[in-house]
Amino acid sequence: MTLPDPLILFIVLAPGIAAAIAGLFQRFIGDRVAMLVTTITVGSAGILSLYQLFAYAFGGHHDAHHHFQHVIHLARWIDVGQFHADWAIRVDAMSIVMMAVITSVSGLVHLYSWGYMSEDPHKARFFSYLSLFTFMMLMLVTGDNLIQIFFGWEGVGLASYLLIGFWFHKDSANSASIKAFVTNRVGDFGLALGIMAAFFVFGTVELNPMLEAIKENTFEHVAPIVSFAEAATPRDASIDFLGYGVPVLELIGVLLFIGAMGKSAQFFLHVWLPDAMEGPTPVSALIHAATMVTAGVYLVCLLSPIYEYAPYASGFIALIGAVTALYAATVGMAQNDIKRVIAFSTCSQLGYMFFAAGVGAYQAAMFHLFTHAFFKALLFLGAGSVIHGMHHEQDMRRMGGVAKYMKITYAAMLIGTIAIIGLGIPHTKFGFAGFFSKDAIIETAFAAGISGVSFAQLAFWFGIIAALLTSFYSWRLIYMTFHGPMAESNHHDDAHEDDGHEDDHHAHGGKPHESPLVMLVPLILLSVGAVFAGYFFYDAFVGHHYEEFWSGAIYAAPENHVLHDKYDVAHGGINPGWVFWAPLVVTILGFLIATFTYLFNRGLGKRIADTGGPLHALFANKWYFDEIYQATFVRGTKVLGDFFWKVGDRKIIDGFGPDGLSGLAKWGASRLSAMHTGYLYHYAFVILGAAAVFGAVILINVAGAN
Amino acid sequence: MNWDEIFAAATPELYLAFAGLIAVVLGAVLRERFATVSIKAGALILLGACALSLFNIEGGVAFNGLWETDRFTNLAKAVCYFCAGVALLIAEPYLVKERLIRYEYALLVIFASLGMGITLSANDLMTLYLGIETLSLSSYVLAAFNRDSQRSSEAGLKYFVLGALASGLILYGSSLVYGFSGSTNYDAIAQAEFGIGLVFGLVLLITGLAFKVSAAPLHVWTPDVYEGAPTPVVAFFASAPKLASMVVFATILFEAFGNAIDQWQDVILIISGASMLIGAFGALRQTNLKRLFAYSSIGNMGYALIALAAGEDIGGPALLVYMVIYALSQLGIFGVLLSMRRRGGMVEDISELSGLSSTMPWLAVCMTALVFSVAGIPPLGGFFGKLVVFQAGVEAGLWPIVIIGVIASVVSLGYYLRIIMIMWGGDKLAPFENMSGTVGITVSAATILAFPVFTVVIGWMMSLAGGSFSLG
Amino acid sequence: MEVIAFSILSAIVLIAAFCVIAARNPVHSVLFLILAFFTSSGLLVLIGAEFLAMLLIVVYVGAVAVLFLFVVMMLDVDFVELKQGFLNYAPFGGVVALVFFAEIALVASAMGASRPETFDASPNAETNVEAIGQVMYTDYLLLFQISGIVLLIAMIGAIVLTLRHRPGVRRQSVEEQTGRKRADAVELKDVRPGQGI
Repeated sequence: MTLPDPLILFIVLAPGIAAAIAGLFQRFIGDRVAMLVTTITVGSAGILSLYQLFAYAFGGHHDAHHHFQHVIHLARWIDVGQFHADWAIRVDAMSIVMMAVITSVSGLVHLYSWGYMSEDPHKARFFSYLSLFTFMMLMLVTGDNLIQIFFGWEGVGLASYLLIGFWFHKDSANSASIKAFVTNRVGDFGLALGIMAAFFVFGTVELNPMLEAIKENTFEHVAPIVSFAEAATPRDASIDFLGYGVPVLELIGVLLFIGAMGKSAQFFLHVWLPDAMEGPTPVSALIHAATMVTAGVYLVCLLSPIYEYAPYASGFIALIGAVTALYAATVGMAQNDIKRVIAFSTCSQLGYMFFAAGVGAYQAAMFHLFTHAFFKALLFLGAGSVIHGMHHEQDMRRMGGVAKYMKITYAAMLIGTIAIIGLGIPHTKFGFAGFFSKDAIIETAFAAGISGVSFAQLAFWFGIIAALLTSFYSWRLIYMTFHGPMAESNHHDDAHEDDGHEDDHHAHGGKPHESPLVMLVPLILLSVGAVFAGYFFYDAFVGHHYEEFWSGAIYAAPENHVLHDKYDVAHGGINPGWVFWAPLVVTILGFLIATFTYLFNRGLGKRIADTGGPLHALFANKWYFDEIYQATFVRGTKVLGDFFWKVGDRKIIDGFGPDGLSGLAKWGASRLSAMHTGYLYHYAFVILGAAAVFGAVILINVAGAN
Repeated sequence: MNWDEIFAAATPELYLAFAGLIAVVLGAVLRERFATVSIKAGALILLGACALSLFNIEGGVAFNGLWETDRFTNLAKAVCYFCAGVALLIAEPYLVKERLIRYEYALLVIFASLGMGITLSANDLMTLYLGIETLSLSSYVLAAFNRDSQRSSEAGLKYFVLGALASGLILYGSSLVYGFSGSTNYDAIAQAEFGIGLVFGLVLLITGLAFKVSAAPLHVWTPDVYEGAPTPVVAFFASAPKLASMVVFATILFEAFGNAIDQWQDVILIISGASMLIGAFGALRQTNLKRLFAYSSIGNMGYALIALAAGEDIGGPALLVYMVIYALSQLGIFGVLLSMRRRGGMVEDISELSGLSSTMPWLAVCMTALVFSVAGIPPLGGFFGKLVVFQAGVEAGLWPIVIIGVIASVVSLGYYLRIIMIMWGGDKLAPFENMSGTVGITVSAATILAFPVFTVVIGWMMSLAGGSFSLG
Repeated sequence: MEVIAFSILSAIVLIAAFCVIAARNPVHSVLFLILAFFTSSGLLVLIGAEFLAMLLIVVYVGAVAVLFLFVVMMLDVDFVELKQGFLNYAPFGGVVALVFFAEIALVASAMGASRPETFDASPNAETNVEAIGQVMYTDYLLLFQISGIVLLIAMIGAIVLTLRHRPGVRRQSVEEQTGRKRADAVELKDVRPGQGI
């Protein structure tokens, strides 16, 4: 079951304390102690929470109909009138899964960073930020009210900002961190509005009463701020929003999902994620692949009762998720920066998770989140290993043939790639982690499509196409990096300048070299996860025991039974047989195309790129999103800001405000000084004049009163 | 003659009068030998009077209704005597260095304090007038105490002539009030029918009293007198008499004319608004610190008058709290001005503070805290003073004056911040001569008091003064 | 009869007071002031306050006004120069004065209603002096004592501002004079003829 309270407290709070120690006292304790403190703390938290996950998943059956939940109240935080928010640690299936993912990956990333950041002069700061991020993320996933979740949400945003801009002397890193922060503000605005709407409707920001009210479909146990009709229930009540009567659950659901879109880099708000690769690679692995970007998925699954009764919001999620999955995969095909390829792949996989949640298969979404954390972290750390071995070269066109120099890294990357493309044999237990989770998503999408869930059909087809593309770009990455001849234009001349990492004292020759052991150990451990995570947890997450496992942490409406429907007709489901084979077929197809283009006809890809068809240009330029945003939002904001600054602030506010007032004050002061002559008879005159005026005032007053 | 009554109501004043007379005799006998001793003895006498007025805080009525004290006035008296005593103490080093040390200084401060006590206890226009004269005459002489300085003499003369004019107005007003109400007793005046004659008498009284508290537009004497008079005298003027006059102003308006608040409220509001604005704008261009704080005090009187205009129940306690905080912080500020001495004499220009933060950091910290307190920056005492006053104004529905008050506060921040900017940012000048012990202690104590030690004290004073008040 | 006397006397007071300000020669001003004091004491006599009338003459005419006269004659103040700005300020001053007078007139018009019917200049006593004496040291003892202190302060003030001990000034010392003995003052010397001392 769960760990004892002190150990849970340790898991959640210790990273924060370690971050504080490493961050505040780095001058006194030095780099090494700071690294030790943070790594050991987070590492042990990781071991503990992994143990907790196994103990929970395999340590006995839970009541499927009784919501298993254990809440540790730490302190009262906000208590204003009806508005309550406590510091609390909520332990249930959802948070147990997330804690395991976060702390284990984070621990490995900490360890990995010993090697990757070995030449960086600011190690203590880096590790402090990493631990801070871990703490904030744990705050997010263990919060039992929306405010604490919001706190963690903003906290991870901050940590992300700090880490993307870790090499702050690089302009590109600075602007990337600002871009990430600003884009997330757009989403966070939606999230904040969503929380306010929830408070408005339910009179509380605590999860339990709110979700219970939706499950039981009554306002009896909550105190709404808005006044609804007597017979209104949460599922059919509506409030005015922007002048329209909107069902409350749809409104809250969409607003909260906008927040999730920002954090999880979904279509329209995805622009920051590729740029976030300016941060150090361990950061990309931890924050921008395994954990923080999945916070949106977590939020949607956590609030499953809302989305179960908000069909339009769910449809919207499914649509956005499907579009993102396909969009990011297309862009991923045409990128040349190794980290950007993986970043777009992350974006695409997040799309899968979202459309799974959108069609009602929250468990599948969480399952994919879980497995994805391992193989995506593995891919990133592997890429980091390559980058490290290639002396901070990130352009795949300048790589090639690295396999023979970095055998372990190559093996790890292969495992990661096979995991992400989801290779496995349907109807059997043979497959890598991605196979279980991704196929579960695709199957549930098709089943939901049959049941008539909106956008589920679209999601299925987009998912299939994206699977093809995923296979293609993943193998393209492997071939371009590890196979073929080493590119001629080596990296040590021009690429180094704009790279800017402080490794000028890097004395190695041009040859790539295998990474040190501290970097390889995490790769190996993650490889284990990438291979077996799906196999071990399939039954618990989405298989036959899923109801016992989730134990009420994820709610499904009575009419939602996609997880039962996803089996084929023979096994009690509704899916036709070919649905199970379709992912495998497209995956192999993608593999063959990539092999043909990049292994056997090396150079063909380059020629296609050089020919530069409109489609390639579209993909390579990320569908011109940055340019469109630049032209509309950025430019528009600038024009608007200019107007408010030059006309609104300078002329109107300053003119009549500070400048005008200070001018008036100066003028008044000089007049007053001039009036103060120092002559006695002037003073006497003023006194008598004042007496006369007062008399006049008071006499007029009296006359008026009579 | 009922001595029990007299002792209950007037012990501190009787004690002060006798102590003052004995000091006169001692001075006449001992002459120069008494000079330095007299300062300390005088301070002791005043602190004793402070203790006595706290001891007899319930007060009473005496002298056939000419005299009445209660908690409110006794509290004001205690603070006045305390401030006067401290102002006397911190004067000594200055007087010694400027070769002005004479026992008459202590005598005059004692008698001025006696005058404050009399005005505060007055329940009759005649007592009030005599008390005001006792205070004023001593003050005129004190202002001109440095008789060899032309500026000091000029200050004394101006103060005297204008003060006589104001006294004349008070007398004229009193005689009109007497003529139309048939009595000079506050209680009897309150009973009288409020006719047009009484109104005019009241106007003249208000004019005269506004002169005494240096509220605009009767403030004209203040900058000149502050600039010309010796600094310790100004320290005295800025604290105790201001507090006493303001409380007396309130007492007479509340007790004798409380029923006619609708009539006089507008006049008080005009005076208050004018004071705040003139105080704020007038100080902006001043470079002489004493002159600057003269304008600052004019502005502060304006804030206090808001409480006065709010009426007895709402404004009374707020007024007392505001004035007490103000008086105590003034002692600290003038303590700093007193310590501005370089080889060759006192300096008074604002530029002389330049770089104080590096040459005398503690003094700079004190001055900063005190100036911020007077400016009303939270969490310092002055902020709470302004807060209660504005609260009283709002409670009484006097929105416009509160808004003017806020605007004036913002404008006055301009010169307060200039002082601080010069202290912390300017070029380093040679440090001042060493402070004497009493000045240093006073400045430090005032600084500490400027911090929200006051929140406790305020609550205590409010309950003592009979007001119900809670922060926030 | 009383009314006629009152009218004449008050007319003289007003004219004299105006002349105090208007006279070019300061000595004339003081003389007009004395005239005003005299006539006002006449007014006091009219209401039966003969003691106050005497006091006014003794104190103000006998002491204060004469002191003024001395001061004016001893100080060489150029009053013509002081009055130069008069016309410049006349309009402002006129307006203020007008307002003031209008207000006083208003007050005076309100007088009628509340005028006391009878006035007793010597309540509970035969004479004015007796009436004052009855209350001076009883009901108004406090005021009397405070007045004393005010006078004391005035004295101290005068001394503080003016008394100077100059070294080298020869003063008469009575005790020294009377305490002199023959031995201190007279010295016997033998004088030889034709030589001197």
